[in-house]
Amino acid sequence: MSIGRWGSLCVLCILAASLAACRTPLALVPSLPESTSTLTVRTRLEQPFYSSADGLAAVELRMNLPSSFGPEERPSLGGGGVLRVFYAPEQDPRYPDTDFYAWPESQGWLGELLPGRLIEQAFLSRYPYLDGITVRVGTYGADVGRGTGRLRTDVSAIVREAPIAGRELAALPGGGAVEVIGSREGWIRVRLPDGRIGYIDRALFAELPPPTRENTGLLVLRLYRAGDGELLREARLDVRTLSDESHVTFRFTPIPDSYRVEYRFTVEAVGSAPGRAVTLWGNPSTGELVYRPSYASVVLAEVSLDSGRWSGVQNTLEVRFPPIRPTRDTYLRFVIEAGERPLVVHWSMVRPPGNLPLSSQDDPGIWGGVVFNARYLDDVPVATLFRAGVGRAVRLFLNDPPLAAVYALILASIALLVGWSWRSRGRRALPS
Amino acid sequence: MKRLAGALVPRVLVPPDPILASIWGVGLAIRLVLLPITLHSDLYQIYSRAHMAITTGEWFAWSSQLIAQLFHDGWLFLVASLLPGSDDIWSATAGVAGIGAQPHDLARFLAYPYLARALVLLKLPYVAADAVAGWLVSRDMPVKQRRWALALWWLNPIVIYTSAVFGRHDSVWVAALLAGALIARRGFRWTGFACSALAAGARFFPVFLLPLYLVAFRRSWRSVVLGGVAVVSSWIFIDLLVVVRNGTSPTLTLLGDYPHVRYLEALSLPVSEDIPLPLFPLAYTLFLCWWFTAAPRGWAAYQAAAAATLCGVVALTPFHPQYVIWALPFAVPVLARQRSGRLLALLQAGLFLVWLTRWGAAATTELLSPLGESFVSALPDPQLVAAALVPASVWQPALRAMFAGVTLWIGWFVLREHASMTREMMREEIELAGRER
Repeated sequence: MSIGRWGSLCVLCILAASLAACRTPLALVPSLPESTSTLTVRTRLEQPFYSSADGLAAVELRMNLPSSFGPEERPSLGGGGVLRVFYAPEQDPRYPDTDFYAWPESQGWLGELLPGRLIEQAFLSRYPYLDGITVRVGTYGADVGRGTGRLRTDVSAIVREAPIAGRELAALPGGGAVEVIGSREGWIRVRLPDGRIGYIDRALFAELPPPTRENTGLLVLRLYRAGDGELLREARLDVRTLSDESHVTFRFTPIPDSYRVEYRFTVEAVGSAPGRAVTLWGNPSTGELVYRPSYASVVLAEVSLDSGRWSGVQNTLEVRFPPIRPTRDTYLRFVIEAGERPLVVHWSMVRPPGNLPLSSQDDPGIWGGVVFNARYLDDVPVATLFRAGVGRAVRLFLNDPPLAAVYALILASIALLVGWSWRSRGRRALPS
Repeated sequence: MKRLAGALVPRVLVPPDPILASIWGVGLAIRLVLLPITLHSDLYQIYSRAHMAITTGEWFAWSSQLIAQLFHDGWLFLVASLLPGSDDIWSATAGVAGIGAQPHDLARFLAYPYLARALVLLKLPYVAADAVAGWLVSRDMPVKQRRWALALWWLNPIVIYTSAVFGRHDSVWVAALLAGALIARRGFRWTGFACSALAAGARFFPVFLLPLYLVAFRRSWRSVVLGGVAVVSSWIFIDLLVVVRNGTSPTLTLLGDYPHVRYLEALSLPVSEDIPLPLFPLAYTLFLCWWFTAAPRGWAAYQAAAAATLCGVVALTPFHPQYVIWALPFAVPVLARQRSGRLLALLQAGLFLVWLTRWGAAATTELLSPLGESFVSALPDPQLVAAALVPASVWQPALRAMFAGVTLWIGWFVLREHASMTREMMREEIELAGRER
């Protein structure tokens, strides 16, 4: 075989390989949004976003750089800051438990979970490292009953509209009595003298009404792969440790390859009895659970901002890292931690894809998004796509034989006419 | 009968020029492949409105593009019987300005069992118009130029994209405009004017050519005035008719709601803080003043002026990709004459294809929606690919400027060619007159 043939063969192999999996650069957004203002990062800044492509390989941030450095300062692009990338499954709105604080009236408790009753739920895991399932449990008042509670004398109590991070409704003086009507997320639900209902941290109570009942037994969650039904993980919770109307997570050893895998899980009670059982929150009419898969936090990329590349055209600092896979159809989050120098980052009223706001420890009032773009190195399966496209086009015609026949007739006529014209070339003097 | 057959058979059975036949064949084959696998929602919307007009009998309900809509109403009326069970594939909200067809409507259309047939039939008038326009632009030329003229139109990616891929009806009105000019060239100036006015009634681009037409094909200045009065009176009559029938004025709808009117003034120079000087109206007014002053006559002058004007509209206004087709019909026959002209046409088409990426998936990969959602979603968005390579703030203005520059240069090229041809003819006439003396 001559060198020319070997060369042709090599070219064909390279062509076939590139057609089979062509890698293309992609940006997250076509252009950077307009800056609204800047924010100074002294500690930490987070920005979640939706990633539609695979192979995240760079983040490009619009920043202000100092025009000069003091004699004690080390001249650097990122001031020793670090950027880390994580999955952000907690921001993914595609699971039924979309809002931690919402207990909508369209949903409700599924009834006492007694031995022999199995609650079953299928779901698609959209991220790797699945390590738990979070559900909402109800204990029917097993952690606190109704009645009068007494606050601690050493502190005043803030009453919030919702547990943990709800808006402040009132402040009650220490040592006072307060009407307790239940609990949620471990906080005590109280009725104020003016009729308003709010929540007080359980730790601020010196005395609480006794629980109305005591639950017994265990909750057992079993996780199966949906395809072959193989049992993958099992997790247990002692019902006596559960709080009424609260989120609880069944934890298990992380499953690294859980990206885009369909699973099924079951929850059952062992050792409970009527009047001593807990319940789960869901949709009583369909029996569907309100749940959210939980994932182990994994640092996908960690890169020093000092290693970034400055663009004078865009006024951006681009930091690169080895392509992260998988990132297609996931929510991601990058976290910037400032080093020895605060960072001045631009933000915009236009949020990135996913429409989630930034979260700044230094300036918590901003509801916009960081001005940034992300770059990917995505695989485009050209050969597969070509096959799929041609296959679909052929099916369009197979569905419609009369159209296929007309097409065949026209294309054959074209071929005949062109062939005839070339065969008869020169027989006719063309008018000019 | 025998004599007739004897006269016809040799005419019909004469083999065509192989290169011309190949151009026609390749262009048609490309279109046939693209027709059933591409769709833009504009096509679906206009035929949804047509379906509404046919089923409700309200043929004049959509007043902003009345003539174009009536054309589609009529075509759907003719072919509806070839689309079995198609009553529920159309959108009920396509006729509501500001809302239009909804994604679930499009999904229903894409799930239609005879989708390929529907797409072929719905786009067929545009392909036919492409062919008619191709025949018109390549008429009355030496054979080599005819081949180039036909190729620059019929194989031009801009034309194929507009008609066969995007499914836009502009080539129908391009053909009407070209036919109008050809009819006028044969001496039927008012019939030709009616054709051009029809095109102007359907799309706003030819409106700018009507004054040029009246001057170029005038018998006298009185006929120019008469033509102008006829156009204005007809428009007022149609407007009033629609106002009486529907209670809305097409003129006010166009001026108030139609974004293209705003586009004409979008590119402007800041004269003062609150008064911009729009470039296209300025250039067009200057050109019109010169046209009325010089008052050239004849087909060639009209062709050059029309080409320059349409190139100016495309270059100096923010255009959508499907409207670039208007820069071609009058320029192509002139560009086909010279190698530099042909290169300019190729450059324009190449820049157009790259410029398409600026419109992202909506004007590129998503047009392949008949091939399935999973297929389309797996294709990379060309706009995002370009943005990953070069900042959009760099490549988009540069490319737009290059496209505008080439298109304006084509307009100038055609005008210059006409001027040099006129000078040549005058010199020959003078020489001839000298010899006779």
